[in-house]
Amino acid sequence: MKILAIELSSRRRGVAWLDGDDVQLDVSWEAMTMPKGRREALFDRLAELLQKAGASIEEVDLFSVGRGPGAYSGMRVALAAAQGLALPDSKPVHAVSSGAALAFDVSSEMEGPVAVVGDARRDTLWIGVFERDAKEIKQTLDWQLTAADDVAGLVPEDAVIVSPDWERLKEKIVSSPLRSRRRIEDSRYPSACTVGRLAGIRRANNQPSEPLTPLYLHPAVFVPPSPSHG
Amino acid sequence: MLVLGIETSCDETSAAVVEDGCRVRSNVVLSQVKDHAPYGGVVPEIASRRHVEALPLIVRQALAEAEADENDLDAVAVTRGPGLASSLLVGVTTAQALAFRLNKPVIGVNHLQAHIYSIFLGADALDERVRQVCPLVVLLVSGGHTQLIRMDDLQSFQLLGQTLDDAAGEALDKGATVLGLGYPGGPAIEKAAVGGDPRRIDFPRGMRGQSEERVEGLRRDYCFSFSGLKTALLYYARNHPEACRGAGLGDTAASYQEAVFDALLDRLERAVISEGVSTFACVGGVARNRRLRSMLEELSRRRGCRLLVAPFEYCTDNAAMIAGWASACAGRGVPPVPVQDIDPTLSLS
Repeated sequence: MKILAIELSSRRRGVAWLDGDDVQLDVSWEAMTMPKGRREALFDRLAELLQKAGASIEEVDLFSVGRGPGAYSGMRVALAAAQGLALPDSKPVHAVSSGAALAFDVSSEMEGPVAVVGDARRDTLWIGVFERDAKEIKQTLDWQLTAADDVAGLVPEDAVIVSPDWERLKEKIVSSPLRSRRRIEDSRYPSACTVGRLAGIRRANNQPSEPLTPLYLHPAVFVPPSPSHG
Repeated sequence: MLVLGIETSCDETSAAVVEDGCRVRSNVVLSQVKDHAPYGGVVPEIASRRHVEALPLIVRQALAEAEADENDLDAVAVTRGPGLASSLLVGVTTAQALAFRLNKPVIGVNHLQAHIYSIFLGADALDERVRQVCPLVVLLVSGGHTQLIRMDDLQSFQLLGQTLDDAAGEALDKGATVLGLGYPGGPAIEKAAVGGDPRRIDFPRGMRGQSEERVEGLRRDYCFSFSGLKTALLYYARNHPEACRGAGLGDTAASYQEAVFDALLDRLERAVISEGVSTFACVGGVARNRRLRSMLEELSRRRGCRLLVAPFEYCTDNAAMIAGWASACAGRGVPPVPVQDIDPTLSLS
């Protein structure tokens, strides 16, 4: 099964070409270095990926996409692109959480549960906890928002903490009860390769796609509607 | 030439298939008005979220209703601006992805030019129609824009005047809020105004006069301002609460609506005279208002000018005007505008 994967939820963007479990090629880039915006960068990189892989977009059996949590614009572009690419002939699209992909990679290197945390702004963090289960990764704590001071209560004692926003969060983490916990002291990013790999595994196991919408953890509107407009 | 159009510049998710510039084979529009109504206006974050959810289905429906296969398409056209950045982003990315997959060009469309083009949708012989009606003065009036434009041919637009504060549609929305009529305000005020006396309250018309002084490079007497009118309504409602409910509401709504439209017609008539044109047009969401249409018809009769008003279904944001405009330009050898990126502040020309 030929898989084209797109992952744009963090500052490290990427696209990957897989044949089943086997990563054939991946291309990644830093969002901040793209002067023309993400859209042009994405389709230029997709063309580059296919050209280097000697592949055609028509060969794709499954489009896979990371749905966050993370940067709203990146998540929207990724979902819109995957669905637009898949639209002719109604090719399947399989979404996985980008956080699951990051936890999957970390669990290949370190034992124990993985707590993925990110900067949700407005003095909050997002967090999800995962455990490796044979070839898969299972989420044991669903995504949620929390205050930095409260996050320690959600992280299992034996978990390793990883974040795509380490530079922004390290002060909060080292000054919180999490300071004594295992952690990776550098930003780590979800990869398109692992998004594609997880989608392939789940598809092969007849697991449905996660919803084809970004994983928003904040509500769209913070101000309640005015009664006069009701 | 068969073009798929995509429009997501604000709170309508739309896709359409248009053939040879004018033949609309499908035009699917999903309004988000119920999502935004509790907030009294468009909330950009809600709009963007809804576009992501809905657009793939809307595109599929547009292709199905047009009985078109993706491979029949010659190009994909999309609004690149002006509009809400996070909403434009969804449409542009989807269009780019579809075009990438189909190996077809993607054409970036100026939303304002496409609105003007809506008066030509459905025309049998486009070139002949354009020759018949140009030059003309266009009143583009919506929730986001109020502009007077001179159009000399399909590729020549000159901005004559525009609002210096709120758009007319925005003034109607805010007026409706003051009167407790809900959202969207234009249709709510129109409904409340039926049977009311539009001359009962003498609201200010704003910036009337003959001054040819320049404002932001435009003739002052071609420009609009609605902020004073809004304030006048607010104070009137405070001082006359009985006029904002029951029997008085109709007169107040009618008088306020009339003040907005009088200001539009005053500048439009002046431009028609000064520019020496024999045709004028009205496009945009506010052009759906029946009172405005009736006032435009009266002006047309009085001045002996031809009037073109966008068909009802093409007044509010829609993808037929996007696909039609792109198809018309491409069919006449105009190089397509590549979509490098969205352009939320794109101007008319």
